[in-house]
Amino acid sequence: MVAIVATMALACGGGTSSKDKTATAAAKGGKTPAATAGTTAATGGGTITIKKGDKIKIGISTTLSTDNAQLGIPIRDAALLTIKQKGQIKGFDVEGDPQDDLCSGPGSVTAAQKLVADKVVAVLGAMCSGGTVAALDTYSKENMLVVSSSSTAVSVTQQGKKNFFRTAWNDATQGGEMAKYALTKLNKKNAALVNDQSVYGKGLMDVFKKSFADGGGKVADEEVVTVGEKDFGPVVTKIKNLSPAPDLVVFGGFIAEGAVLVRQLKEAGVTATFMGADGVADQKFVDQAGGAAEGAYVSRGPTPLDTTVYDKFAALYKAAYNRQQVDQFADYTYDAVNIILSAIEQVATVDASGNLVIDKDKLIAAARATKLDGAAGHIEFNAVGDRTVVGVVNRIDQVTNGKLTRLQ
Amino acid sequence: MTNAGRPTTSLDPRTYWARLSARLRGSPAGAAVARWGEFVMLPLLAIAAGLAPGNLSTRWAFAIIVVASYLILRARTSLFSIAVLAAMLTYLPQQMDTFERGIMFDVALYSLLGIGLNVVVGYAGLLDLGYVAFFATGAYLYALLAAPQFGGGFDVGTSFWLVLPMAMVLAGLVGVALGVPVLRLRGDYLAIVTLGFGEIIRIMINNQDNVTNGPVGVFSIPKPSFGSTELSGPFELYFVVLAGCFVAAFAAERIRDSRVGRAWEAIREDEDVASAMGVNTTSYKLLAFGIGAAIGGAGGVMYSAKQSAVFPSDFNLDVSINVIALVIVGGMGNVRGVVLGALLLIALPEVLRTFSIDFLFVHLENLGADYRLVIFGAALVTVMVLRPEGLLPSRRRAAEFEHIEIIESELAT
Amino acid sequence: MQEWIQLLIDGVTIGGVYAVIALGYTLVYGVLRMINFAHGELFMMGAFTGYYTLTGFENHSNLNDSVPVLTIAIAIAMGMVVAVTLALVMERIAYRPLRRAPRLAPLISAIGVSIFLRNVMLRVTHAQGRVYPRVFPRTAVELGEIRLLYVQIFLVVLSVVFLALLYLFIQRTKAGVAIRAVAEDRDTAALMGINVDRTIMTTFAAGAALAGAAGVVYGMFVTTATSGMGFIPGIKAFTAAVLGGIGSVPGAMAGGYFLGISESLSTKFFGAEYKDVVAFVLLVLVLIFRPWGIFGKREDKRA
Repeated sequence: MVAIVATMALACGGGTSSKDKTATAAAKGGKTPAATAGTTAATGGGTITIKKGDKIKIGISTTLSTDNAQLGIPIRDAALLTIKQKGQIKGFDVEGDPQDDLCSGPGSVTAAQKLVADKVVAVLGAMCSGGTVAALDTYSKENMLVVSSSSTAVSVTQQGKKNFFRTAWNDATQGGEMAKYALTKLNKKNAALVNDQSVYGKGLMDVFKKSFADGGGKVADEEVVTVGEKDFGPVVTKIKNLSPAPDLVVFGGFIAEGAVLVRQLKEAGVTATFMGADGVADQKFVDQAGGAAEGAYVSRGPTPLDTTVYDKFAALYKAAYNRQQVDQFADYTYDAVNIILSAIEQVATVDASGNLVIDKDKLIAAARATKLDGAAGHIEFNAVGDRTVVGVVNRIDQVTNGKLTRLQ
Repeated sequence: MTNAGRPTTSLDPRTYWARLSARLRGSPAGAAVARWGEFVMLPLLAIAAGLAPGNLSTRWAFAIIVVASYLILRARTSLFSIAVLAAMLTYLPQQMDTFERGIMFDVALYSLLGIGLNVVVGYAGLLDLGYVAFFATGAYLYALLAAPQFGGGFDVGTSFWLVLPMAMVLAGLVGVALGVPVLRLRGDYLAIVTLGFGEIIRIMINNQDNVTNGPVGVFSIPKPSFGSTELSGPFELYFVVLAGCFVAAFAAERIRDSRVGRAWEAIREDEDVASAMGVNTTSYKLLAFGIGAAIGGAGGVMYSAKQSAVFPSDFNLDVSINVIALVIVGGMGNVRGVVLGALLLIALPEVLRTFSIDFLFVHLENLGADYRLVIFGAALVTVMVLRPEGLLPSRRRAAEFEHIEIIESELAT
Repeated sequence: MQEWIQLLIDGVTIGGVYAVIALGYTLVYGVLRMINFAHGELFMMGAFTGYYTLTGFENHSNLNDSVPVLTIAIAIAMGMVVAVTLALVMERIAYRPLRRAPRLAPLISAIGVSIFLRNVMLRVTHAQGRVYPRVFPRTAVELGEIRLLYVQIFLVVLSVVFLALLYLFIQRTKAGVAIRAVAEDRDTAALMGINVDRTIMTTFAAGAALAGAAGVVYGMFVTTATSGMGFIPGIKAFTAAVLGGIGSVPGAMAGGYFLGISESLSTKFFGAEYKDVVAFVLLVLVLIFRPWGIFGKREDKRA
């Protein structure tokens, strides 16, 4: 028993405690939480003060391990690039604080706790929808501005948190647009849906299913694949043997599974058109599918027709990281971070002692009032933090000659 | 001449450790510390942890020295030490920031789960690799009953304190239900079947969309309140888990020292002989499953409340593996070991998140984050090889193991 | 009807994979009474070795096009070599010191090795799956709607060949006799003059060679290699080995195919999402009625 004390002490010994320490020895009993000076209020209100000479820290919650790191690392890189480009706000250096959120609920919550402890001013993240849903609770308690560039599931904004915004599109929009495109432009009537059992994939397919059915299409079958598995034989066989055969196979999920699926479908001789969403909208998908993705359609979500800002960003990104392409979500990240930085710049004031003071409510309000022509199009937010569909069109690419080519 | 492949030189870390501890224990200073140690050690630890001046590494070093000497000498528990323990655990988290408090919650939660699994694996000797099933049961029960806008037609805002015992009962029943088909199985067969059960529960939760909302998970789970205070964060809920740990540990150790515990021990040692001696192995095994499961269910409820959103993917095999690893690494058969295991396997990787090495040509950043699992795996192997009975095995286990060691060394010479 | 046959084919294919990996599990369990949780990772390492070998040939020569049989054979051989080396290192570092330890210690050690290997490869590949170059032709036998890739046939044939070779090895060679002896009673075998350490190493090597080769062929079949690809097949293979009777070589084979086929066929009834559930429920049912597996022997002493 007593060793518990000992070992607890070991863990407790570390950590920054810039809060004032009470000199009294162990306070007995009492389960009421003691609020120590320096913590911000639970909800609403609160100010951030950055001492003269300190840096403005922007938290980056993204996936740096697990298979989805292939999406998460570019997000981190894009964010750091944007921050570096800004350099300073009102004489204070800006710095990024990347934390691994493991693309999971618990992982994102831990990342959130770390970022709060690191006293970041605002957060980009989390990467995965499930993670964002779980972590918002922690961020909201601190009234912290959170902008996500990749969490697209419908459920993320359903909680109605006032401090959350996303530059990525709500899947309700994307799913609906995908269904409309399939029905009207591609003339598909009979679809088989496959999802990867993630919050994102399942949510997207649910939206697609409803929109497709509402538009007169028929959903012949719904299948699932498991993330990490490589052999989707039974699913492929089932789809192949559907009668009447579907003319469209839609996939809600990420690159790793999408590539394997499209390839196995092709090999099995399934002639239906393949359609993926933003989770596979990346050259890596085409590469890993090894030619089987030729002719497939990929929805990127609503994007601007005028790509001047995007092209400028693309040039910057490719040069900085020596890459041939702009990775998925990099453009959304660029915009998200810029929104955060400009909100801070609008709202922050330097007080008499040279410290930077940021009012949290004002910061969130400034973000809400964003009207930005960014790399991902014109950005304005509605009451729950989703983008309003203004001046954009749902971008659909097709894989032609091994490259993603924009169709609309 | 058997080649057991075990060296028995005097520099062998395992025997060296044993001999050192024995020698220290036997010395007069050692005896004095063993007797009065708690009174001296605990305040020292309190100082080390919270009040010592200096920077991070000084306090760590001080704490480590105190802890190490303490562990070697292993004083007995007493009411005083429990009181100081409670006081320290209440005081310390108030000095921490959000991240550290989150870690403390996780450590406490995994300790609770470890205490529960310890009943099954450590006391009754039943190798359960699917413990996450009970954890998930409790978590989802609270989530589904309490989340308001969940479209399943359930009641709104059922009280946490009501759901907690309900979850324990439900999880306990699930434990017994899962125990029935595996009664005849031994050892590794039991392991793989329980692993399967854990996966089955997760998959069922994942796919029964109309009941559990499927992969999308359940969110907006409300926080419990204690009287008039809302237990809104990991800090407040930590105390609930901590209280749970104390209660569970107390209950578990009491049961272990009772007839039930002795029956478990008999079953663990040799089930056939136990049954021949008249021990009703069926009911005791089911009891072990049930109690372990109930504790797991309680942990699940607390997890749900703290996370505010749960997904089926939270309850995967890794959780079961983490719990069994910390029970075994820490030392089976006793609560101290479980807590140590939780600290090492749960807290340490998080604390090391931003730790970097910058030594000569070795430049590794963010060791804890990027290489966390690599180190975790290596650490598991290292600990097991160096100290297979666990870091803090119960006295009985250590004796069992030493007994085997002595026989081995005799055979080898 | 056609769908059933296709599902059967898929099932036999994955069953072959399970069977070969299960052979390794069952061998190691037979001699050490230990579940080598890291065995699935040997399979994964084999797959990566195959990738690196074939990509090496692809980038630095045109041997892949001119003599694919040779490059594939070399890839398989390399896969076996790497897996065997890894297994021997594993045995020496993580398992041998724990031979007399309480049963759970080697289990945790094995879990540690598994986690270590998986994550090392994750870091090495930067979480990117590696795509196999097209060496084995993707042609198939087609009968109406049914498709059977040649590489699938190769996989199944290979697994049967392995079984036969292993069986002969265990039954007819001196090393095989040694393995059987150590599996039966380690101390007596030592007293009879068998070098237990060497025998155990041989066992590990045999199991690893099979897993490594299977990894290469499976990699060619699914054309990707990722760091996590060995974990689930490892667990399924262990399930298969238990199903067939752990410790029994034909049992592992039977268990592997039985599991693979049942899994595949069950998707017609229950859907693909319940595949794993079916596998485990099957396991429970078999073990309820035959707690020692299909081909297993009744164990007198506790497992």
